[in-house]
Amino acid sequence: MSVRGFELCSVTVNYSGHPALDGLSAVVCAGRHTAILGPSGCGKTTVLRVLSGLAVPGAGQVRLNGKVVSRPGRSILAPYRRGVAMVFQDLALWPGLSALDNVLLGLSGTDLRRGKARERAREALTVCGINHLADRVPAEISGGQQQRVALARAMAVRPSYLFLDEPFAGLDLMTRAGLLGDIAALADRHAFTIVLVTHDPAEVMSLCSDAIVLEAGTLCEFGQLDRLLADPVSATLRAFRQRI
Amino acid sequence: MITALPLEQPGRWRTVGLMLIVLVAMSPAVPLLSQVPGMTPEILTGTFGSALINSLKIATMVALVGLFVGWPAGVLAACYEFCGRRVLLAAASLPLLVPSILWAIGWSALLPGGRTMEIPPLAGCVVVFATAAVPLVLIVTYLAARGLSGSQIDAARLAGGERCVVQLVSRHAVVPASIAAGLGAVMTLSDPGPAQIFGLRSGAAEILISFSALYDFSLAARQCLALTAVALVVATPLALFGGPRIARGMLARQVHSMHPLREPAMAGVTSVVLVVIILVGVILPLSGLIRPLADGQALMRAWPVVRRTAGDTVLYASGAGAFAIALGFLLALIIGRQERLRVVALGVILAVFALPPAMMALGFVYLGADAPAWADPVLRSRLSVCLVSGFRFLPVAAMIGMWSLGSASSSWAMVAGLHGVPMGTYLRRVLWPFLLPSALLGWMLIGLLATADIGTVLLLHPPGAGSLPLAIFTVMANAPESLVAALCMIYLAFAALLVAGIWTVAGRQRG
Repeated sequence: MSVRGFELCSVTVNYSGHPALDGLSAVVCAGRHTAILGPSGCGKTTVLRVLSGLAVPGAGQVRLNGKVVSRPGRSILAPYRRGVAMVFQDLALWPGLSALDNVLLGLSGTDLRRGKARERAREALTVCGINHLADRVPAEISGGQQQRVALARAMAVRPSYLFLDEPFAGLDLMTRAGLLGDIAALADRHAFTIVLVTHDPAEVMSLCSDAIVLEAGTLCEFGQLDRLLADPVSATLRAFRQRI
Repeated sequence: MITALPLEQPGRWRTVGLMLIVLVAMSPAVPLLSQVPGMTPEILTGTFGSALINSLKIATMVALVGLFVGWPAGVLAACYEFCGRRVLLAAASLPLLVPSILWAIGWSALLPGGRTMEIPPLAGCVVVFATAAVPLVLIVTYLAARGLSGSQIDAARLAGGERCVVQLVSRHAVVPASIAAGLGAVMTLSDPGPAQIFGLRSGAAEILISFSALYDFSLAARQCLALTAVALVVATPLALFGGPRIARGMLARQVHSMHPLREPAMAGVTSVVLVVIILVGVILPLSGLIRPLADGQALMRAWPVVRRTAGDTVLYASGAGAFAIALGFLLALIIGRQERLRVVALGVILAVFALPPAMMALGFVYLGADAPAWADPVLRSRLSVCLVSGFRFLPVAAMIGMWSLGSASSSWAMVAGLHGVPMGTYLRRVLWPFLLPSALLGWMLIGLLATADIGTVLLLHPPGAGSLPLAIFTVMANAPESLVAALCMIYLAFAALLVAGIWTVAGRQRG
């Protein structure tokens, strides 16, 4: 039976001969916000890259709603056709462009006409609370505001899945709490699924219902977060439980 | 639709692209290989053989002087805060960017009455070439040291104080400094200017004589191939050793750069060292050029020559710069972040840079001699000079491109790929504006270097389309000393303006 969402089937990814993922099988169900957890270097970001099509598996398959979208050495469905948007750890805002142009250029892959795209970009900036900064370039705004621009760019394409790769690292507690609340509200309103990579239990608890726990590129635990936390197997979740 | 994603993904197209560009860059030299069958060992035992030995002696001494003066000076400049840092470093780097003949003329004109022959030829050549090698090593040492992070310096300071910081910086910079000294030495092998002025037989000067005075193309070609072989023997270890090091140095880092130490005594010592380097490398030869200008009429007499050559000088400089930057940045884009390719590419371009420029120019002459008339616009025109000079300085452009691309975030192209931004749009709206300052910097730098390379212009320029440095080179033996000095001073003023521009753009980019 096919799953509505992403499936990783025995996926292996190597970087310069070193395995980043080693035969990983896991599921990200549509509608269930999922956290990807594990120690540094265990392959969390690689999972996001493989799901989004930015990296292709060396072995195994990636399926989306039951259809194969990546197979060994080949991406069958282009990344921009997977309904995925991503906020990178370094935000990846294009430096020479204003906040509005960052969002507008992010809409290049859609079929929207210029006027409609502009309208959509403005709407995304308003939803993220930074419409008044539309004409500023990234270097002219604060870290928290940059985070919101990256979020607006991701939101504007109306994705089915929003991947967040440690997007709150380096932010102060207040800004982080504000952004978390806003993202949770946006996810409810626009019905997209969040896949979050983080080391922070507070972020996981406030956003996610499921978790995938990795260790050295292999699956350690996987399932509903509250059940996993009730009887943690991995050192990561044991540490999480202590900090909650 | 092709998105920007392939820019950050591996692929065979990168290897193919690299090979194609290297082949295109080396293609002008290929026709010269037809002269290989005519080569005999006698070429290394006759006059040309002794000239080659002279060249090697000069190269060895220049490398030693460059290393033992430039390295400590670079370490001091990087370690200590001192007044006028940018001005002093810019002034010290001036000899790197102007033709060596200018300094040779300056040194020889120091002695009144044109008593050039009183300067021992070998010593004269070493002093003139060291004038450029010392700042090359100094700047490379300085840049290598500045690659250390602020926290590394703080850790060294906590561990052993100022002495430990200086030791750390010295150790960190010694390999890049040695590579720079080696490269400076290899470059002397292909420069005929100073040897001609001081009356020494050198390998490069012999090639020029064979071509321009004896009109013997095949002899010039065979001599050029022999010189190329010598240059490659010296440059190959440099390329093998330097390629991986430079590749590592080009990786983007997110660190706070080091803060120089504030020690008034050492700041004074550093300033004095740099002032001495500028005094010996710039002021002394400059005063040799200024002395004949005392009558005040020389600049007026030089004006017609400057007016006649200015257009072509600017055309050759800007054409070579634009061509090299376009090809070099394309090469950098093709290499991307692929570590192995970057190491290979850097090794190859270091070796290519060490080749005598006469090799490519003579290859073009060979092609042009038998080519039909329709090929004239490429093989026998001003464009030929721009193309060959561009090929010559492709390695410099590629290194600037790799450096600049290395500081761009890989996530930019990934997010563009994820959003379906077409490749062309991404290059035009995101990457090109980011690379533009570096491209501008490289264009100016290569323009200056290309203008300083007299050999290529001499061998390839169409009749009546010489550059200002070539005009100086041509008239220096027969024209009045004051006219030659005036031409040199005008060129130096132009070069100094461009150096100031380069430092300003570089400073803004760093800021």
